[in-house]
Amino acid sequence: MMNKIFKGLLVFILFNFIASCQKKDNTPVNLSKVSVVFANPATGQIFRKGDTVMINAVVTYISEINGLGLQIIDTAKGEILYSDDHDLHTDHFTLNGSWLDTLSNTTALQVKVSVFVANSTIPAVRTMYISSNP
Amino acid sequence: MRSLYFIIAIIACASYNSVACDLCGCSASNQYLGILPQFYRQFIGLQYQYTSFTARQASLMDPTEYERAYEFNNTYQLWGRYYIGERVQLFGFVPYHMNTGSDAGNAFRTTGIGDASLLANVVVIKDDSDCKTWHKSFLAGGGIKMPTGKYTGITTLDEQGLPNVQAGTGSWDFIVNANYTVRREKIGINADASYSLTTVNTAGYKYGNKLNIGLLAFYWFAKKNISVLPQGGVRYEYSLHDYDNYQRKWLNENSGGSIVLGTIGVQSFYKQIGAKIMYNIPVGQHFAGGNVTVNPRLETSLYFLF
Repeated sequence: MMNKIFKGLLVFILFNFIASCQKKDNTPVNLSKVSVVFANPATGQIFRKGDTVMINAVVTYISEINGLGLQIIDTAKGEILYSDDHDLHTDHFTLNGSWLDTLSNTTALQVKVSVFVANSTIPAVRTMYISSNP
Repeated sequence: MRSLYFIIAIIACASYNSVACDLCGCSASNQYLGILPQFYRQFIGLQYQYTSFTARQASLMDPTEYERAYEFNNTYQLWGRYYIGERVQLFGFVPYHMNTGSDAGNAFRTTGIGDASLLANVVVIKDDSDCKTWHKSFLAGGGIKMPTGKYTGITTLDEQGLPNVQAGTGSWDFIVNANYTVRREKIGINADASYSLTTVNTAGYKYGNKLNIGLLAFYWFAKKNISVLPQGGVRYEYSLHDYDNYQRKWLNENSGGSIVLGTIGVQSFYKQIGAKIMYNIPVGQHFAGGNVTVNPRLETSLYFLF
C-alpha cells in the first residue's frame, strides 16, 4: 500500500518535471500590426493657451502589448511637455491622457505614442501633429 | 527503500524547477508544516507571518528612471490537524491577510480572508514509541487550495512581478507535500517539501507553480512537562513564471524566481500548549529578474494540542 503511494507520488512529480517547460507565445514581432487610432485630438487641431488637450486613442496589436508611452513634444525645441506611461499585458488598450496648454508662443506639437510589444526591445511609434496658437 | 524513494522525490522536485525556466524569483507562499508535535493527535493553532518586499522597475519611456514599490504582508492563519484513523492526518489552513504598501507613491491596503487549504497526509513511517533511541516519522500526501479569498483581477503589482497583494488568487491549486522527521535521542532533523500546482484563475491569469523545501536541525530539551526545541536550518523556495494570459501563453518574465533563506527559531511545548517563533533571513535570491527584493520574515505560532 505504502509503496504504491510512493510510486504514485514519484510518477506525479516526474510527470510534472517532464511537463514543466513553460510554453511561451512566439508570435513573430510585427510592429506594422500595431494600430493606434486617435479619437482625440484631430490631426492639425489648433489649441489656445488654457485649453486642455484631451488625448484618446485605441491601441491594438496581434499579440501581447507590454506597455505604452504617451508624450507631447515641442517639435521645434524637442522638449517633452507631457509624458505618461503604462505597464500592460493585453492586446488592446484605450489610452486616455490630458495636458493643459500653457504655451505663450505658436508651437507645432507632436503627439507620440510608443507601443512596447512582447519579444521586441524596440517600440512601435505612432505620431500625429497638432499646434498651439495662443 | 522508503528513504530512497523520499530522496528521489526531493531530487526530482529540485531538478524539476532548475530546468523549467530561465528567470528566477521567490514564492509569495511560505506554507510548510515544519516540526509537528506527535505526542497528541489533534491540534489547532494560530500562526502569524510577516513578510515584506521592495521592488523597482525601469520606466518604459526613460530606462534610467525607476518606479519603486514596497509591500508589507501580515498573515494571521488558523490551522489545525485532525486524525482519521491511525494513518491519515487532515490539515486545514484559513489565512487572513492584511497587506499594505505603496506603488509609485500610491499607497494601497488590502485585508480579508485568503485562500483556504486542505491537506490529507498519510503517515508512511510512524514513530515507534517503544524505541527510546530513534524516533522517525514520515508524512506524504496532498491537497487543494481553494479560491476563498477576494480576487479582483490583474493588478499593476502583478504586472511588476510582486507577489500577489490581493487576499485571494482566484484559482484552485493542488499541493503535494512530504515531511520527514528523524531524531536520535535529543538531536534531530526535519525535512519537508511541498509543491503547488496552480491553475488558471478567473481572470485568465496563472500564478507560477511553487516549490518549497526546508531542512531543519533541532535539539530537544525536555524536563517534566516542558520541552524546548531550538532549531536552525535552510529553506529554498522556487516559483515558475506567471502567465498574464494562460490561454494565449503570455508568459510574464517579470515574475517568478528563487530564494534561499537561513532559518533560526525555537519551538516549545508545555502540557497541551505549544508555541513557536522563527526568523528567516534571505541569504540569496533572484526574484522578478532581480527587480524584487525579499526582506527577512518572521513567523510565530501558538498551538493547542488535544
